[in-house]
Amino acid sequence: MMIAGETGVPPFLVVTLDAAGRITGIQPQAGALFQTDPAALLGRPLVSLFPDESATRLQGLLERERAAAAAPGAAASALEQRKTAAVEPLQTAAGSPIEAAAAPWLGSGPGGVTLVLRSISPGGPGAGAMVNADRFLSEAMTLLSSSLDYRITLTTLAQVALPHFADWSIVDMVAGPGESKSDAPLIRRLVVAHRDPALAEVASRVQAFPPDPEAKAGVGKVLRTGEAEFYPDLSGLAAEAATRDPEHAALIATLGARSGMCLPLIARGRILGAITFVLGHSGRRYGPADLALARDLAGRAALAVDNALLYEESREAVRARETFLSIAAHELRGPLTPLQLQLQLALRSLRAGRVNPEALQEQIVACERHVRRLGRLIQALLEVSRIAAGRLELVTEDLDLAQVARDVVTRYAPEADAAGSTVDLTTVSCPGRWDRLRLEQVIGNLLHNAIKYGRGRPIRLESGPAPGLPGWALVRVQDQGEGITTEHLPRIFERFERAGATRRVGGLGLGLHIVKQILEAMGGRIEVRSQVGLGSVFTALIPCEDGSARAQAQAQAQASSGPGARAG
Amino acid sequence: MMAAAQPGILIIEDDIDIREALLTVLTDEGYVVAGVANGREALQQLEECTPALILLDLMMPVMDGWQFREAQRRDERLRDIPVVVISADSEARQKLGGMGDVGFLRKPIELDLLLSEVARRMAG
Repeated sequence: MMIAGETGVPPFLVVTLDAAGRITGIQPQAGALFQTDPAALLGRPLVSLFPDESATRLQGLLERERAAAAAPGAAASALEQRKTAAVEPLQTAAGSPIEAAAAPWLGSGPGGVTLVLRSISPGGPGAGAMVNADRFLSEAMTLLSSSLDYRITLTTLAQVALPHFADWSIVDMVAGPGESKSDAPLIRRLVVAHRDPALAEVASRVQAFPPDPEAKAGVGKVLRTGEAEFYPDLSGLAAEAATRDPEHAALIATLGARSGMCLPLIARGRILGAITFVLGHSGRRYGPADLALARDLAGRAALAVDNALLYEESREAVRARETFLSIAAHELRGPLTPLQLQLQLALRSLRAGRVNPEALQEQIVACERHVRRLGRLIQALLEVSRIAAGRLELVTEDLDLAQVARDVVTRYAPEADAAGSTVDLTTVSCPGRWDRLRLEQVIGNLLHNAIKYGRGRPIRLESGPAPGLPGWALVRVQDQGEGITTEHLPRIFERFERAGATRRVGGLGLGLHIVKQILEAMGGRIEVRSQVGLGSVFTALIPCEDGSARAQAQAQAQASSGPGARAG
Repeated sequence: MMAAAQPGILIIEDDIDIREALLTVLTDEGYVVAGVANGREALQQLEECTPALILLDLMMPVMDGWQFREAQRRDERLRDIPVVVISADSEARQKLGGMGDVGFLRKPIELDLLLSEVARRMAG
């Protein structure tokens, strides 16, 4: 798709035609107006450069001009004296409105005609666009900045160009990396708006057809490349769409699609989404000046969308923090309850003068245990904030994964007993270099999770070298618990997420998040498979050598390659 | 853990520390007490004995407090045993709606409140 320069069209163009209406001479700048190589214009019939009605009007103008020239008595001098030329309003295939006037000109040759083409748009920025650029942009920005609600901002964006600048419009947004299950970015078709209220319902049905992220043209391409796409004539594209999805094509035909533009919404170097403007039933077409204006609008709108997005994210963070605090408060009361009871009991005995040193010692030992548990909980909270700040340090030593797994299972035996689950441990010796505490944390959290959600059924824990992956170790924990719904599955590694029925099982909701963060710091990863009613299988894959250096290098490479990296 | 005599109080609480602390406190006070880790264990225990009072935690694995209470109320033999709910959830009180007539104690538990509530319910 060739996109015309935005500066190239001069206010006047002179064109000479031969008797057959073919171009014999033209200013080089005409290339910009007709969006083609100007040299290729020579010899082409001028009429062929205009669509439908404009071509008919131009043909009429040329015929009248030739008739006048061929009329008896007509001479160069008579032409010279003609005061008014016939003027026809035309629109180029790209939608630029111009006027064509037959100009008195000597030397056009027999049957030849000379025309002056003039842009009829007012001057200034965006000259030739269908709306006044300055006013349109300032009104659009006032509307776009009137709300910080992300959804309202996007709806406003879709509406802002209607009806003067577009017949209908589409807003597509790239979903966050966490929301996409595959590597391809997930595109959400969020708003489709139409100038005709009667077609609003049909327009909303287009939302069911999110664009293909891999598409060679259109929204998918714009979101990949960050480059605008310009379609002065959409008829070919609509026909192509019809071969892929007849229902989608039928919707588009109902809404009307003659001409369109798709602009990326880019803020802080990140492609947030795309806005598509379409002209259909109004019979107009977009020209280069409209594209320039649309680019301007999209650039400014992206900032408004980005602001709304940041605001939404910050509110989400506050909500998550509040949830976290209430869960944390609940969890901290766990050890606090027995601590308080034991202390009050000891105090009561002392006050009543019934001091039994043995009982007192037992109580103090119990209190100490509760204090330790409180300490561990507080540690977990700090851990999460440390991980969030990217300050997880690994202290590695030579270990055997099998030994670490055995230690963890021994430590969790009382908890498993209490829940009624047995832990079936299968280990194969697997030496490597790891941070012992972090490794214990990973296995421990996975096991704790299996006990918590395992419905008292047997749990299997396997550890050893990863089959088929030399240099990698594997830890697999399988429970026969309630399982995780597909809806929850992508979110279980996020902070403060708990997959199970929250009222049934306590917990900080941090365990799996910590597991994933530690594994990533080690250069490893976690996989999960789950079936509701049958249980879940968590598989941790960890490089046996010190993976932290590589993970760090990877993180740095990702950070420095910037947001554009995703486009490839 | 199971006393030889008929237990007067059954504690249903998954947190072993809380359960042990309640056992110590109430045993010290002269009650015969038994403890179990969840609703299902409680129902098994209740096949063999009929305590005068149940102390019930809400958030437990396997069978939680709500599910236990439901099962208890369906069972003619068990439905009249008084229940005191013990929960750390500050909103738990509002969530007791469907549980019928139950007492409520909030964690962390005040020893005096616990003992007076237990004495009152067992007398009633």
